[in-house]
Amino acid sequence: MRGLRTDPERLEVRMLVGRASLRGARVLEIGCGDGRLTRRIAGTARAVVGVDPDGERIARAKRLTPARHRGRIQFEVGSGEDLRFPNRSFDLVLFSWSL
Amino acid sequence: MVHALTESHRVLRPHGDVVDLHPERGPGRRRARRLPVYIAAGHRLIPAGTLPEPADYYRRYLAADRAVERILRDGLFTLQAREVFPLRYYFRSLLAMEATLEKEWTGMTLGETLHRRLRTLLRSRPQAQIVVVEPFRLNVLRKR
Repeated sequence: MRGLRTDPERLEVRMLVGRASLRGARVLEIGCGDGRLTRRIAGTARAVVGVDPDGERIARAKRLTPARHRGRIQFEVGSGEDLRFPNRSFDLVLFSWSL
Repeated sequence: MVHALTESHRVLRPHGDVVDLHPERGPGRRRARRLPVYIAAGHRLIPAGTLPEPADYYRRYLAADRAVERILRDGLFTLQAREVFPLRYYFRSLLAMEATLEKEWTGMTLGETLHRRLRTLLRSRPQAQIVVVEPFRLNVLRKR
């Protein structure tokens, strides 16, 4: 959204890093939207897969991903209730306002 | 919601974490939240009023809390951490705030009193930003 900055202090990411095992983790983010939080945690996690049922938001998330993160971020259209990933394939699952 | 948590249990490695971030519904019996609104002038936050949320937002937060409690009762996870922290949204102008309310924060409206107060505060501080503070809850659940 133009003219809006969400959490520029990055308190959300600091809380995540401080309370969960994010560093070096393979992360699945359910309900990633346009990837705002996905991009912010990409520098700390080993790899992040963002999933959201809204195809337009996923397309925007892909557009907004900087080149330096493209090797470690992946976005897919999908639902948290029907994940296509194998058993035991992630270190951390993040629900960002999607429960 | 509970099903999504069960699915996350399946794809997590043993002792992996689920992190749930969602708005904190707050204490007491109030069934809708009012988010504090400020004007950021330098390092100061000047109170401007509150922004009421529709009751259906509150019901979503309540449902999320109940899903977490249910999955903990089922014994799939243990609670590792639970905290509330303030998330801040900064709007460059009143117009930007109004556009966000119309397109993204649907169902929320600036009341006349808050609108007037923001206009008054911004008139003498044209570079100031509008800040909305939202309490957020973080739950960390560890796979058993």
